[in-house]
Amino acid sequence: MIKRLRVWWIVGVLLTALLVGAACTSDDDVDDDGEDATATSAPTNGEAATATPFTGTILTPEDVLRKDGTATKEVEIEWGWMFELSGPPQIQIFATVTGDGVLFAVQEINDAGGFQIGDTIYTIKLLEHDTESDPNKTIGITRQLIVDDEVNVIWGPASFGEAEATVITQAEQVLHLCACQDRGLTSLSSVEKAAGESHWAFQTLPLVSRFFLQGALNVKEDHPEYERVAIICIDSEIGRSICELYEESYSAAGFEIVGVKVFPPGTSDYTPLLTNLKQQNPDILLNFDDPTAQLNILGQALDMNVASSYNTSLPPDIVQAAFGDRLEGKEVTAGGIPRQATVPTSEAAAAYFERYAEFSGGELPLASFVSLLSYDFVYMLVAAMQQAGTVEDTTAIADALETIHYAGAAEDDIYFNEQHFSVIGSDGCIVRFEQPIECSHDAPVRD
Amino acid sequence: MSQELSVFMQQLFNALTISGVYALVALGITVIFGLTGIVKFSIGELLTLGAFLTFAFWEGGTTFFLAVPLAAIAVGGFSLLLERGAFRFTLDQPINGFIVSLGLILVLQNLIIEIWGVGFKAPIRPFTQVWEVGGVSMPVQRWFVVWVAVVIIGLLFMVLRYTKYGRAMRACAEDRDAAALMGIPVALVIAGTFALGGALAATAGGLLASLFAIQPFLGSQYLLKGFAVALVGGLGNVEGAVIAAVLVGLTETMGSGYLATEWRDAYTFGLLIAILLVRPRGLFPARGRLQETLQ
Amino acid sequence: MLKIRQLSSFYGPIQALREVSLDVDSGEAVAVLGPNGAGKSTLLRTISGLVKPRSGSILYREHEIVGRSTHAIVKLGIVHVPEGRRIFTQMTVLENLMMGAFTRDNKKDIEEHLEFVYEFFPDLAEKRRQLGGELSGGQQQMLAIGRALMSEPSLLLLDEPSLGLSPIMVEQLGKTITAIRQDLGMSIMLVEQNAGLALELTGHVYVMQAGRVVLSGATDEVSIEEIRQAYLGGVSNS
Ligand SMILES: Nc1ncnc2c1ncn2[C@@H]1O[C@H](COP(=O)(O)OP(=O)(O)OP(=O)(O)O)[C@@H](O)[C@H]1O
Ligand SMILES: [Mg+2]
Repeated sequence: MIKRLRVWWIVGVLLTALLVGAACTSDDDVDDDGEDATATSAPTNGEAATATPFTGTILTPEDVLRKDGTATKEVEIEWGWMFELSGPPQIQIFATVTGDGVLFAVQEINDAGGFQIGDTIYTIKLLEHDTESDPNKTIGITRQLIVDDEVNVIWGPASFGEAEATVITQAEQVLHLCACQDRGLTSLSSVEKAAGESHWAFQTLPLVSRFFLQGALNVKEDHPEYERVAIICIDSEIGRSICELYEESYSAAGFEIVGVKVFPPGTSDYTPLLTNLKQQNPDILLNFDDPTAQLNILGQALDMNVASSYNTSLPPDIVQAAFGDRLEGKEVTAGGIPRQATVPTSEAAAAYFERYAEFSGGELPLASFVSLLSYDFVYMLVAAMQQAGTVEDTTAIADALETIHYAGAAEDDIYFNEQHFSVIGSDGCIVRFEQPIECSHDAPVRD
Repeated sequence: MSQELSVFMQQLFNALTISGVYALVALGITVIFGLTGIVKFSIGELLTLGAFLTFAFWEGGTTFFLAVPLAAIAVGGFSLLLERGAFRFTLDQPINGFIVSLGLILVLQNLIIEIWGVGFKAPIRPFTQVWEVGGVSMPVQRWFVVWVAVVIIGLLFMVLRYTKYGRAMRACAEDRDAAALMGIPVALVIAGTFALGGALAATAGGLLASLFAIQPFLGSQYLLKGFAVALVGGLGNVEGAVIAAVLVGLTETMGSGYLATEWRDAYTFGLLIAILLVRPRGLFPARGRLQETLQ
Repeated sequence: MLKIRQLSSFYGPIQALREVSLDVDSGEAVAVLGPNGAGKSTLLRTISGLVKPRSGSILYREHEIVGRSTHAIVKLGIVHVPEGRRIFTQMTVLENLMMGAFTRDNKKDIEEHLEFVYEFFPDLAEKRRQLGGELSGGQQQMLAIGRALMSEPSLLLLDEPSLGLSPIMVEQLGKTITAIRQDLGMSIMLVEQNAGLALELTGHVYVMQAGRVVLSGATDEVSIEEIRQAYLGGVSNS
């Protein structure tokens, strides 16, 4: 059985990496880097992908909002919205920003006059609930939304009670979208067992394993001469899962795993295990952990000259600022990060962050990229309703959602795979001594 | 040098640095315990405070070499205020002092988060060079930390042994009433010891800020280790703390270097348990009236 | 020199001193006798400030010393050699003696005094580098007294110095105490269980019982029989 990944942890990792990124990057740099990045991304774009790009119609926001003036009715529909607005800080930040993506998209759609299906213009009203990070409360809200409010769409939550809520929504055939991780790895099967099917559940957070595989393929492409890989992970359920993901992904990309070390939580001195790993002469040292640990591991590994290349999920500018001339003759790849997590790598993304800043009252919230784990999918859901010609027949809408490709803020081509996981690429960057940070966008690994 | 030997030397060097830091924390704990019987768990937070203050001074333009002593003085002063404001009322009931110190952990942690946020600060590295000798990588910064620890420990020993106030501290630790009967202002010495303990922890924190990325929860790990070291050495015994720091640093480093890394803390606490089973009061138990009444 | 009036001290709810009044004249040696738990040690501890009295007064050379801290009282010249000696076992003999001189700052003075104490207790001179804990009981008692002398007190409070000493050591101790009073001119308050020794060394005796002074008088005027009676709780002041 695949280990259960708790979304809050992954997110804590991503988030903190990003928080620091946000705090340390000046606005001007972001734009400049963004342009550079898109410029440099062109050659590699798509090449690492394992399948040919999609060639059918890719819908745009304009398609979704287009009206032909023939509508005669206006109807307001209600969707459920439940997120962890209170509770443990890591999940609270993540959930709030994810929920924000839905709120923002809905406001944009309504401000644009709603969306049209046939002779009807629909506007959306969100019934907002705070789950307080309490699974029981989440179950209660789910029941209330379905039974009392009779909604057929529910967004959220991010983590707590998500699996339990999914069991209910799928039994009731309610469309249920969340940027969650549990569903991807375990609960899909349990949901299937409970309800026979989980046709109406969609996960907007891409599978983490895809990011790892993408990263591995990128490295192999850039450095065919690298063969030996050493891995360091924290000794926890999550950390060990990450180690496994690394092992699987890098083996799949053709590397030899020469050493895997796990360390207890709260470690700051990694030199004993780095000394040990160095004996295996690795070409690449991999670590994906909470930012403090990553920074410590990277710094100590650079001091000890453990490998030729180091991989981290830390924002590249942080790496450059923190290590300066210690990077001389070395290479750090900051990879495996979901799209738009460091610097916007497309015009659509840059424009999105400008609009989103305005929506948030002038300043981007911390970890604002997390809102992209839901924002685009609101448009996609509306597109699916338009394609199905209904806002009510959830089975028809789900059928349509399975086929839609959409060019959003996060990615030029977003879609759900057969298992209902969203497919989004990653942004990888290379940091070298006294050289500009090179970032490139890598298209997702396709099925 | 053969590879095995150079790896061993590398691990020895790794152990040395961490031992120095553990020794400073353990000394902070042990001097306070020796004098008052209070296990001051909030020392961990004073360490964090020292680390963040060092960072703040450095960020404000002070050199690292001045930032650490400034932070140590500031935290020492703060620790003195804590003693005057809280701990001195618990001198007759060390268990209450222990409870006060647990409460303080929460308060201080929140204070640190309030001021500096939950994020981390990248290490300050005044020395970025790395010496390579026979396959052993020795960052100069680590040598610096080792030497600072050695000098501070040496100074502390000299003060305790050869100065009037150092002797007074030892006298208070052994027998508070008898010390008072010598005309020693015991309350003042105790307050001074809290300041000293805080300053030692803050120095450890400041040094850590030059080695590792720091975050608001930094203290708990070092407190735990410092406390284990102090216990192994014999709570209240200064020499014991230093020897035990080296012992724990070695156990931990060699354990995680040559055996399974994930059991690192188990090696330390295994050592602790083994030693306490054989010598319930540590390797070098402190001998004083307070210790006798507490045990 | 010392004038104690209506002194009452408590340990929590337990009253250990009940309105004790007592005088020590300059250059005089006074004995305080009494059974276990009579409050003798508490009396000394109250004088030296280790125990805060609830009521009463202690005048020392016309100064009220109730409420002052122990180290301030030491500075005034009252030094208390506590029951059980309480030397610093982890410190050398020399360090112990130096602790006794804590209140003094003049290095030369201290050196001179150290020589003097060594002359007084030649054993200590010989063992100056040894840890206090390694001395014999008698030597420890000498160290405790020598340590007290280092601050040149005017009033020495001795709490059961003969406890646990061999008869020969007790005899030696007697000589020392006499010498301190006669040669150094210090006043002495001697708490003892060994009534014989105490009566021999002092000019005035107080007998305590259950926190009270139950008998007091010049040593040559009270008989052993009266003291025994007082121990048993019979006689009142004569
Ligand atoms: N620290 C303390 N806490 C509570 N009660 C105490 C304390 N010390 C002494 N006492 C009580 O106070 C009373 C007087 O004790 P104190 O030690 O003064 O007697 P003492 O005359 O010196 O006896 P001894 O001859 O045994 O030394 C006794 O009842 C004793 O139990
Ligand atoms: Mg007594």
